[in-house]
Amino acid sequence: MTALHHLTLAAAARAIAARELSPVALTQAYLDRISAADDQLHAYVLVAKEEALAAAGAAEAEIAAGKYRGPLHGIPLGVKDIYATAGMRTTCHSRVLLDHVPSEDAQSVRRLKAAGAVVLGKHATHEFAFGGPSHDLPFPAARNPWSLEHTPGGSSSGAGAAVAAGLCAGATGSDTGGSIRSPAGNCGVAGIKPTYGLVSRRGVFPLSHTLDTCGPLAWTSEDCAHLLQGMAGFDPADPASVEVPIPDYASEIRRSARGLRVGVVRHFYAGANGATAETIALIDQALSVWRDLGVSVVDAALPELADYHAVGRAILLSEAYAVHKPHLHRAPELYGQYSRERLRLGALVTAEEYYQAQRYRRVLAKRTIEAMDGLDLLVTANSYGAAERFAEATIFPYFGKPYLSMPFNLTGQPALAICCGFGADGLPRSLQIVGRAFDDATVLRLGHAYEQATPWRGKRPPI
Amino acid sequence: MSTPSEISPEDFAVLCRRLELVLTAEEGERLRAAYVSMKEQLRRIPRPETFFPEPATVYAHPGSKLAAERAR
Repeated sequence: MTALHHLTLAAAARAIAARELSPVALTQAYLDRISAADDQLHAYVLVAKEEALAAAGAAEAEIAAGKYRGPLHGIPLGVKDIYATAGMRTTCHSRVLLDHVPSEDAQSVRRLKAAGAVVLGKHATHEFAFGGPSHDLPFPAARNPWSLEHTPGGSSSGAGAAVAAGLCAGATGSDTGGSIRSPAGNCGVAGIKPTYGLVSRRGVFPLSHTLDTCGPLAWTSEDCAHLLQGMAGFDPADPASVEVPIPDYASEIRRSARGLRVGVVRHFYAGANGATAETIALIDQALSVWRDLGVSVVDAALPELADYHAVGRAILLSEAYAVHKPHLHRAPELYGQYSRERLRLGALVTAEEYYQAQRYRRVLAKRTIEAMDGLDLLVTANSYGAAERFAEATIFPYFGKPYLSMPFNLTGQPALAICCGFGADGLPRSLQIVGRAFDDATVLRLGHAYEQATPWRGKRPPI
Repeated sequence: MSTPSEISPEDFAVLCRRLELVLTAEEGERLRAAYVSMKEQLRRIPRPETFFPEPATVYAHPGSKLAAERAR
């Protein structure tokens, strides 16, 4: 029998709806699991035990009274510590905001609570979703449940670790250059960077205004669909928010994948200095699985990955420096070394470089869409290989291999990272599924089809 | 001042002072090395040979309200 803390969100939701599972019992199971495992993982910077049990009790009473709100009702979640939570400390994992207690929830947290979700606590992150993995911050860095010597990825590091190890049923993350997809991949879970403009960023600490995107991480694509349903929606207070119809994601993903047309962006990861042979083989196996399901798979050609990377770097560094300059100059000692030194690099991007990057971003976005002519989706690698070891982390990781995730922050397209198997080292490997703007449902549908056809969702980390 | 790829520690220190960046010697050297690499990377971004082929516009993200309005 599956332990309560290892139920998928969807399975727990079905059991709660059928009144076979108590939200209080489920919440207590996660709190027990956090007590047992988080001293090794450091996935949480704050556990809100009393508040969580109170919220679970309220959910239980409502459901008993016949007022079931939907699949998130009574589901325990973790919230990345850059999301404002009313009355609950929100530090961005930084000394700069160590005593910061917001008076209001971030809009997406408000929406999740309105759907009946239970907040277990706040998840570790790279400092301000930027500087990490660091060991000079007020809280320890989250660790990878598949191997404590390896990083869980970032910046949504605690979210990835907690979901994989069963310390929550799902989590909120944010993705500016890959910060949902990197921990999802490293920790062997699913994580979607939704279309830019689909989920409100109000109340989420900014890193780069034209790239920042909020979204969920969970064990499966189906779980992500439920969480995205809760988080998505127009918010006039977020200038990027777009008023579009929100589909029923959970219904959409159950449709057959047969007939979908997928373009494989092989030149991003295959060839010299690309992904490991093991990773390439696992992606090839995934493509075979989809072919067997009736998906059409062809090669697709996009602009060079290094071009997206350079453009994204100029924009992200400039915008992050603009956000932090006053605090950084006033009290640099409050920042961890990685944040402090990375942010200063943004001061050295000229206005001309920033402007040219934004101009060329439009060219790249146009060419990306043109490359999808006749295709529904793109597939490419999510990482070149296994998670890095903590000892391999560097202050400036920007000048080696280009980031595989950055292209879709620039274009604003939805991109889902899913586990596509394991290496000989026992660590997860992952790929990305990318869709057209606001077609997040089809992205999740292809991920769901793959997860249903493969055994990987049955394997949990050893911790 | 020399070009970024060969900027001297002295010129880089001047640049940092102009930007009000207060650095230790070690931080300065690390930042200088990163600066050189970054400038090399940013040279990948093509610059138009002539004036921009369209009026310089505020960037409109594909998901933004502005882009949605333009698409109508």
